[in-house]
Amino acid sequence: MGTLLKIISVFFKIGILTVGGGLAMIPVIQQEMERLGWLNSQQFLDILGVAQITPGAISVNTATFSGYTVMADAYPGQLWMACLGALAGTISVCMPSFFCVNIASQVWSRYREHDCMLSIFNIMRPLVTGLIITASAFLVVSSVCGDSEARNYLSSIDCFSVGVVICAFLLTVYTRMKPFYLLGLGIIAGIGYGLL
Amino acid sequence: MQIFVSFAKIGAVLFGGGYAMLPLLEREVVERRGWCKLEDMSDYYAMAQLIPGVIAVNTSMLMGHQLRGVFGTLAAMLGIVLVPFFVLLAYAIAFDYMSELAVLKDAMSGLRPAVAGLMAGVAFTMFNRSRKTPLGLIVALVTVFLALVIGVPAVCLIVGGVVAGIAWFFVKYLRIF
Repeated sequence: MGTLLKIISVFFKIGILTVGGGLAMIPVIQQEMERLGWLNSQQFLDILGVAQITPGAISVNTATFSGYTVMADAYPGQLWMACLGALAGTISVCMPSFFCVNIASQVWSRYREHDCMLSIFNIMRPLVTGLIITASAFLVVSSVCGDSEARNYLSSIDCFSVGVVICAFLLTVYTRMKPFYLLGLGIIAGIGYGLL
Repeated sequence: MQIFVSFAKIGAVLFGGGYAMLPLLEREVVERRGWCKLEDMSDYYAMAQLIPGVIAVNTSMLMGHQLRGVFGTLAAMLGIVLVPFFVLLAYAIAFDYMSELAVLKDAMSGLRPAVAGLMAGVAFTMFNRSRKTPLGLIVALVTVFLALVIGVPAVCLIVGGVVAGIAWFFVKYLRIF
């Protein structure tokens, strides 16, 4: 039960701290999961990938799947506990916004153009950009080198992964391909490479 | 109940989060149900970005609130997460049973770098947008430095950003110094 309460409190915190949409949530979830030792970066990449090829908002999906995985690891063989973890992750990540929506709807019309709001967002937007850059740097290193215990990065570089990372980067920047198709291509490439 | 069904439908076909949601929402809520006007949509959307949380969920909840108060909010929230929740649950359970399958391992070994590349691409695009203003460029670079080189946790940086925004407002507009 301790783990479940911890999941609820962690995702509630993540929900409060996310300003400016789901993308901002990804670095926070990643860091919290690694700090607590719940997920390593390979597991996080798996979760993030699956979250983007299933329907629904990315960060809520990430919360659902993380909750499931954490509880499945904490209580092996007890499926209903894992499902409970998924439910806890989903609901608690949405809860802060639930309260805020009910409060904000009342005061919104008066303060939406307020300069204080604008200046907070002038800082938060580039700050989130910086966080995403950092998170993606970690994710690229982790996907290319694996989670090698020895941290001997250069020797563990996997050429296939490097190729996929570069292709995915170029496709995202220059063609604005939908993530769903892009990740689908990644899966096909992985299976194809495995068959060779 | 109608709110719940409508948002459940949107949740089921929504891929890729907040920004992909707008056209779906327009079709269902504006055209089919006539719950709000097209002009109001952008208001909801702007507001959803200011409230902590996910844009897609926030937009849904705001509309639900406008229609039926607290219960509308609740119905919209549960609706939008319903289908993805069960899809993911089914996927996670299947994943547990098949995790030794070679094909699945190969698929994941392709998916992982694709996700990393996608995130890097998103980061690049976002940085291109941020560096257009001097403030944006400085804040983005300082954040990368603090997070990547020094290792300041994202949580602290976000709280710091909000505090800095408020401080900036006081300095600039109220001229207390």
